[in-house]
Amino acid sequence: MRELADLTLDAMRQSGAEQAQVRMVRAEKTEINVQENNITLMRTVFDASGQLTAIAQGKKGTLSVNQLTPETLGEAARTAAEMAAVSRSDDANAVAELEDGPHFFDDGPSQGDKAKMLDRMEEFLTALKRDYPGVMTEGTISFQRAAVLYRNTNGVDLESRDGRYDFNFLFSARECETSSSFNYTGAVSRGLDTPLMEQGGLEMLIRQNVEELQARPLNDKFEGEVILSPMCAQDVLAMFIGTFLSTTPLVAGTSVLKDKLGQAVAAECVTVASNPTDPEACGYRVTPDGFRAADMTIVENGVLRCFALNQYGARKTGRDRAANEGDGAFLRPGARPHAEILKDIKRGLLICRFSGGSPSENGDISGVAKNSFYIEDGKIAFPVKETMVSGNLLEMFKNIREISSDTIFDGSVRQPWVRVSGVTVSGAVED
Amino acid sequence: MNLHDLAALRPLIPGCGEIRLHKNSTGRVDMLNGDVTANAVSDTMGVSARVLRGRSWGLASAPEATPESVKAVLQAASDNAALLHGRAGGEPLPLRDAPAAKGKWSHATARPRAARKDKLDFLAALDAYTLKACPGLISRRFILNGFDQEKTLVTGGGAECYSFIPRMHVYMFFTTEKDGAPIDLMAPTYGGLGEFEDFFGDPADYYGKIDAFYEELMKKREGVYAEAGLKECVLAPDLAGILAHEAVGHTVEADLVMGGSVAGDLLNRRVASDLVSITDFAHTAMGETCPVPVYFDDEGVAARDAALIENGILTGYMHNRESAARYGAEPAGNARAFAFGDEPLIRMRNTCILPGASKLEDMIASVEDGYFLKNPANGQADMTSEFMFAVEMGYEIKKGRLGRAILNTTVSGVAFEMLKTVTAVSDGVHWVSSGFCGKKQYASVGMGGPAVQCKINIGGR
Repeated sequence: MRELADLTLDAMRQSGAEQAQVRMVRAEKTEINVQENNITLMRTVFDASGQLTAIAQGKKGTLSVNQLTPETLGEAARTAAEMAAVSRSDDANAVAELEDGPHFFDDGPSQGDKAKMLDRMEEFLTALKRDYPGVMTEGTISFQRAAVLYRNTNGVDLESRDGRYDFNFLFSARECETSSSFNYTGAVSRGLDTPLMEQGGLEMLIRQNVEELQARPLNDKFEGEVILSPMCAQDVLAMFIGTFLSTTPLVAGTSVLKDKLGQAVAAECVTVASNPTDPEACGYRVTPDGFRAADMTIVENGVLRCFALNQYGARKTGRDRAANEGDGAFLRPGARPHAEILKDIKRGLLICRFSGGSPSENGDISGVAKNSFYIEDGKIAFPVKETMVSGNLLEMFKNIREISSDTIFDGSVRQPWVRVSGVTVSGAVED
Repeated sequence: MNLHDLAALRPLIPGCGEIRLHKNSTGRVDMLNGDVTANAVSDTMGVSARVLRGRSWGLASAPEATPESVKAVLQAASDNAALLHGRAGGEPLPLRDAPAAKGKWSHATARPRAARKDKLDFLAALDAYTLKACPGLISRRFILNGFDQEKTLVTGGGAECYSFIPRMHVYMFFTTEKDGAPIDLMAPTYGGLGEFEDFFGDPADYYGKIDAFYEELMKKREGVYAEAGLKECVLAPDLAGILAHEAVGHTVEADLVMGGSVAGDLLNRRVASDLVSITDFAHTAMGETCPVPVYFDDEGVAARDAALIENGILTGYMHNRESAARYGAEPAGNARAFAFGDEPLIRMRNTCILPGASKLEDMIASVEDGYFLKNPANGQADMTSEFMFAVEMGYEIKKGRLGRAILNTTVSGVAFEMLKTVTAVSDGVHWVSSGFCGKKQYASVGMGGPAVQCKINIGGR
């Protein structure tokens, strides 16, 4: 790939690009599919891609192809330069800068073990049919090996090779004419040492899903406390970063936290980090814009420590480029397990999945509390259905009362349960 | 390679398998506050083969589109199927026979080709007009997004077909502020089936739409939170399509039915008011080409319409050949793959609530206290038929008249109960096709419908 990358960079330069970058990928993925609790399909996908970025006089063009031949890449290089030539000049456009440090990474196995993938899948399906006979699932287990190379005219030369297993299941319980809301989870790993049922909170969620067959409407409306499950907390955290701290809202000037660096933006118990190079996790080594990825603390004891800006966003806003883009962020665990925290809640919800609209730019969110349970006097009372929740992300992060000590690890991050106050909960109540 | 080249390789296909040459092309220009933040195109293409051994499918794909590559992926697919079959065994999987598709269909533009610069200039003109005509915005964003899908398919069952289906849309996002807090709105999307040249010749054609969009944002700026609870609502035609898609469509996809959807017990039973009929159209609806025409699916089935609900009665599911055999139904061409390496899944095409006889203004006038919900955003379905979708723009209805605008909210309901509350369906149909449906893979889909009056659970304060 290195020779092809150099050829492509040369072709872009010869076509007028002053700066150029190539991201080249070769990948092979093997995937086993399950439908209705049975293995139905195995597929093997060989793929490749070459993403070319050309910049001339501050004008940028980006072109991607998946035919990595000298002819195709040469033509793509000329087209990328032509696209740049007709664009608009923007001083923030640039390719990644050269940095000191390692430039080659090799993580995970170089080959997947198809037989062991089948063994783990059959083991899971056998356990599911035996222990949860009313539950139906569909999903996949896969192994992907990818080699990614970044080369640019600043001399950047970063290569990352990565092999990982990944599984995902969507499941729903069924009894007579009643179905539970589907739920889903998954995990990534470097090996297949652990049964799938023991990863990513899978068995806990399946057990809950069976209980959810008894779900009933919450014929009430109140402002109360909720506990977000680790999966739900991860979604809410991603919404918080995406709405307030990522490149687009900061460049657009719409983020309400744009001037809050160094100030409190969440409750004191909240520390948020994003650590893609954690050796225990399946992270990544290079950012999408071609820098070596590093770990970062985004919020520390409630205080905003950095934004999740990429290179363009940093140059455009005059702020620091982030060590990564904030994906895979997690909350630092607290002192008590979530079962203890739950005992302190007089009236509220345990929300295990949030099915809602994207947040407004002011942070307002609303949606359906799926796979969720009503809490009364410190105990789980019953599973709920047709129950909506609404609130504001900024207020929610200020109203985080406690974070659990126990977590669920999905192979990428360890996420705890989170207790939040001041959330509006409403059943399907007619006035 | 073309259809002729691929057809020459048919003798290599074992049994009922398929070989597919598939290319997805995207083009995007993103302009944020006058700066071009994306000026990008992408081509992803390759060949795939799927073969069946006993009850086990094998699939393989590669980006090289050559006869040698087709032979290699056929072999790899056969190896995968054999590996699964060797462990699982089992009787042959019954598949429903269906008329094999033959033909070529293309919706490529017939107009002179625009240059890349024309696309950038088009957005720049919209931006310049907005800067001049719309004071008080803290952010303005325009996205021009094209997605073209080109498929060549040959099956062991005799299908030989080709299609080129492009789509092009412009998206607009404005943000203003009130008391230091941003208030944002996404405009209805413009475009549809076709290419840039088919829709976006003169930017001045869109200035009036920008004016109307800005006016709505200013109303939203003074908006209030909806009152949470079960409310009588009129859903605008823009929302009806997502109701058909999320509330009904997903629930009656046969793979979800087999996976436990409540629709499994409701075939030929009443699930909606008799005012409600829903069809998943293949390529032509009410005499016009649909926004995402599907002439054949990726199992080679000649596509036709699938009636889902007729006058309130659930009459059918959407199928692939396997589920059709199980349910004794005829496959209608719903087995679709998104990328060259993807397997066909049961997907919607153009799911639409059929029009009724009411007038939108009469429907609003009949509501004493409720909401008129106008612009949808994302949505989600469930096995229980409980759906949700986000609403970006709407108004209170008080004593039959539109009142204050409302801020972003989400509506939800249990489809097969909520649809029984429908009391009016307007005439006319509006289609939306600017998003992607997600279900393991993406799919380009059309969603259509008239205005619908019903009771629905609304999230708020």
